Amino acid sequence: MLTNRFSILFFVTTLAALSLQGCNNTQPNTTSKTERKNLECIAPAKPGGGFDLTCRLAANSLKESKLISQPMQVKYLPGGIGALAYNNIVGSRNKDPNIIIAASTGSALNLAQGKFGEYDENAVRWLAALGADFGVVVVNSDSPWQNLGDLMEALKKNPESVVFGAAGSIGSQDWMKASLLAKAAGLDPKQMRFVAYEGGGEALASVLGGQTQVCPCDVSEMKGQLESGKFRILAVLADDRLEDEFAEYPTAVEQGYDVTWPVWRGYYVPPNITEEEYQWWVDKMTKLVETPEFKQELANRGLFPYVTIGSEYETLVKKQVKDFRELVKEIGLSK
Amino acid sequence: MSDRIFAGLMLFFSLYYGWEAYGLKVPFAYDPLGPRAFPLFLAILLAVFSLFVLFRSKSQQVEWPRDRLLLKSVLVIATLVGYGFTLFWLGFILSTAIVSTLLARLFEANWVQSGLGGIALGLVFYALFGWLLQIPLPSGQIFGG
Amino acid sequence: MDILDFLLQGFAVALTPLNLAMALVGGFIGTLVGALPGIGPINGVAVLLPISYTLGLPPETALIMLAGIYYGAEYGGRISSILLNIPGDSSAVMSTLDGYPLAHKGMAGPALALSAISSFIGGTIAVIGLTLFAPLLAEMAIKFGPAEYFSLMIFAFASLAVIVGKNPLKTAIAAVLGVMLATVGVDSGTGVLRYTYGQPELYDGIDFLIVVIGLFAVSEILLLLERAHMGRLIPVAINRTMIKLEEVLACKWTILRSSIIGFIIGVLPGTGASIASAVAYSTEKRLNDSEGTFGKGDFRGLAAPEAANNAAAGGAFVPMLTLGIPGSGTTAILLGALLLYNIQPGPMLFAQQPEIAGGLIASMYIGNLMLLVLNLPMVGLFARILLIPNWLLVPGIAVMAFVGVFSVHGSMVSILFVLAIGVFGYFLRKLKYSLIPFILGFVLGELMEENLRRALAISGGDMGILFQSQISQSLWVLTFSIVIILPIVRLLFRRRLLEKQKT
Repeated sequence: MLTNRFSILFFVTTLAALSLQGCNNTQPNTTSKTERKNLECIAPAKPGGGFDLTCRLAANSLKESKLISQPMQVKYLPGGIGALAYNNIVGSRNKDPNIIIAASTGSALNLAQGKFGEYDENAVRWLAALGADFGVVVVNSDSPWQNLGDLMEALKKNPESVVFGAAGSIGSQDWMKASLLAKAAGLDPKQMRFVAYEGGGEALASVLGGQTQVCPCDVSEMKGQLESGKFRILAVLADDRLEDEFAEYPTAVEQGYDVTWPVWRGYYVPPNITEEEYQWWVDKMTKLVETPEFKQELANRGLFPYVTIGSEYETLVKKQVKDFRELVKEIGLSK
Repeated sequence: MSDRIFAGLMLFFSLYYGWEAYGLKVPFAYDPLGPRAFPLFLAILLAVFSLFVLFRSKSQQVEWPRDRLLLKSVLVIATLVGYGFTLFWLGFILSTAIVSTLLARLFEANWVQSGLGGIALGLVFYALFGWLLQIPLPSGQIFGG
Repeated sequence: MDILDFLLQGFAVALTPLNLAMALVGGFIGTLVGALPGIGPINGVAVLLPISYTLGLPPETALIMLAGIYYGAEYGGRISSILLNIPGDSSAVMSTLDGYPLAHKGMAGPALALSAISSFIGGTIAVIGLTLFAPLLAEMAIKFGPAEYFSLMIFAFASLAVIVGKNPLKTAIAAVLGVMLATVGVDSGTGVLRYTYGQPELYDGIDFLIVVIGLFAVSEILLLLERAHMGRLIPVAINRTMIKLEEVLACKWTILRSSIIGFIIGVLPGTGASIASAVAYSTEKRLNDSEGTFGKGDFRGLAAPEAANNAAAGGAFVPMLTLGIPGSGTTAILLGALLLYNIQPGPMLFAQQPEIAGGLIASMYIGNLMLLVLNLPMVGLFARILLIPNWLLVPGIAVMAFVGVFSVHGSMVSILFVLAIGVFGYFLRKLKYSLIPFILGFVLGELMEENLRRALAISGGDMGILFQSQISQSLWVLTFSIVIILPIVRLLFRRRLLEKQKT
């Protein structure tokens, strides 16, 4: 019965893909150079997550800074942490000049592990990264570990005494952060104790409740948790110290452990748009990042300034995917 | 009888489901169970329950649709499948109007009722979802959307 | 100043005409999105949030409107459960059990009214609980680790057996099938793909919305067709539109117990309203169902899940406000909304910004009240949905279901998947398998596996962790008593009764 259902599903999927492709040839892609209608940002996830936030950042700030006259719609295409949207854009909507799709460091990590199916990082055009978040190593304030060194000592002495509580399973960003820490302590990442939760909130709660000891979280998740004194930040996984309220926390690098994890938030566009159409987006983004409206929207969303646009960004993403591929192999997760 | 056939199918399904779980390749896991144990357990559970239904329980009569009703049931599903396909092509209003008309016909309304009802539903739901709740609805590829 | 003073101040703010009007608007939009199957509070909040931000509404007004949407949607979700047998979200599943039979006895109006009243009481008890005990409960919630969650799941599954009773074997099979469907997708522990057949559509698992709309809405359409064809479609009469005071009073202990159960379970992050309503229903059935009326249109069978799921919705605010950890999808959206207004929920909210906390809680009282004020007079109007002829109702159901799926997934494949599940649901219903254990299995099964494996990952494989804490131990005792001791007691009781009748 159920097996039948899956073969039916497979059948209709194929049909669906064919029909979508068939229809797409007739898609109009002639729009004037300066003004465009029906702009869309696709969040490859359900409403409410990080990709939604990334899309709303572009949609709201483009509109508020009056760089576009008509609002940009945010649409959702959840499935396989972005795999579905990636396949859909490359496979069928590959000529649509009016859409941008939200992406993040996580997308690059997935591409490196081949989780987006047959397509790799060269299958789309990378447009821009507009903001960033950073990894952070957090423990309960009751924890005996005062700095990253203490944690590393404990890891070396007895790997079983340190349980990582993270938002995401093996191969996710949080797991990579934990693995990099374990490696820095001279451990095989397979030796650590690691528990995957649904999201950063649950992982932090487990540190608070004492079920786990360390959360390899993101800085944005720590906003508003700092004053309470319930958590202790052992290290920020950025190259340099952050600004404002996070300035007092040392990086891992300055504590002698070369572990960084910046999380950029950006966008890609379909692969077969013309150079002119790509340049239109690059111009808009370049103008956007200078506006006060954008800076306000960025701060509202708890992101840090991090701007890379156009070819510079394409190079960055491709290099990052390549690095991740190496890293994943090194850690022992290659396929 | 229907109960037994269904139980038989469930038994086969549980074997397939368990076999599929058994064949999962796991690089490594941090918990001793891994991704295979739980589905295997479920497969065994379903197999045991199905065997019980198959051999022990009293089967009850089920009246399955026949003749015209069977045809109509298939047509209802076919219409809904058609809805899925035409939604992107004809756009929300048009495909909703057509599909609603056909469904109304299958529920014994006359052509006038069905047609007017279909058009009304297309427009009313567009106003409700597309305009009031701002849910992005397909505008139809034949209209260039 | 004390938190209660701030609460009073909050009321002073909330009771201005503008804010009351916005609470009403929020309640109306909320009821609307809640009543449409597949469209939930998430859509309502997500649509209105940017609008209220652009309009430049002050934070407290926006909060009040959001609370209105939240409570309105929680209530609106019951309308389709009761009238059409199609639950709008996972917490409304249990309301179909007695709500739909009630509607078919001509009691749609009273059922809707009772649902509004129990929702209101459940919601209010939760807000009172939130006001008085929030920090204390937050401490309890974080002590609830994977091992404790696992024992709670076992308890919930054990309760299931009582919920839909006649054929325990079929209940068990339906539940196992539901759990099996939930194993599709990325395994959350290892990232391994299970039963995805290379389809990216399936990587994240099958969405609850797709399952519930397919199982309930599509199979309902087919059964309606069948009943119409066989001439077995009894036209539904509307006997009366208002509920009688004595009918509400007859449910008072049910509502009170269920509210407390709902609130406590709702406080635990990630579990939420569906478990709360299932546990409350089974508790009431066990306590009250001496005549076997539950499941056939018993007012108490409707009041229990309704009070519980609204209390749970209120309980979900506890971890969000005190810890900054959202307890459900909707509270996650609300958390985002608060952040937009630079309000950071978390341990410091009550200490540093008590005026905001007070305003927020006041707005929850108001939002809850609005739901009652707005919906009670409309009960008769909603009940008239039942008078819509099938030829208009069925396309309506189909369109709403499709738009619901479309708004979240935007792909045709998911729509076709809904239909496939719907046909399967039709076969299940024809063969007298209840859909309730299937859908609860689908919701709870995943949590059960995840938490079992998390617990074992923490302990490094030592099963002892499952029985270590006092919370888990008490849950195991509870489970043991309802599975083994209670049936024995009942058996002895019955035997004694028989002996008495003989003499």
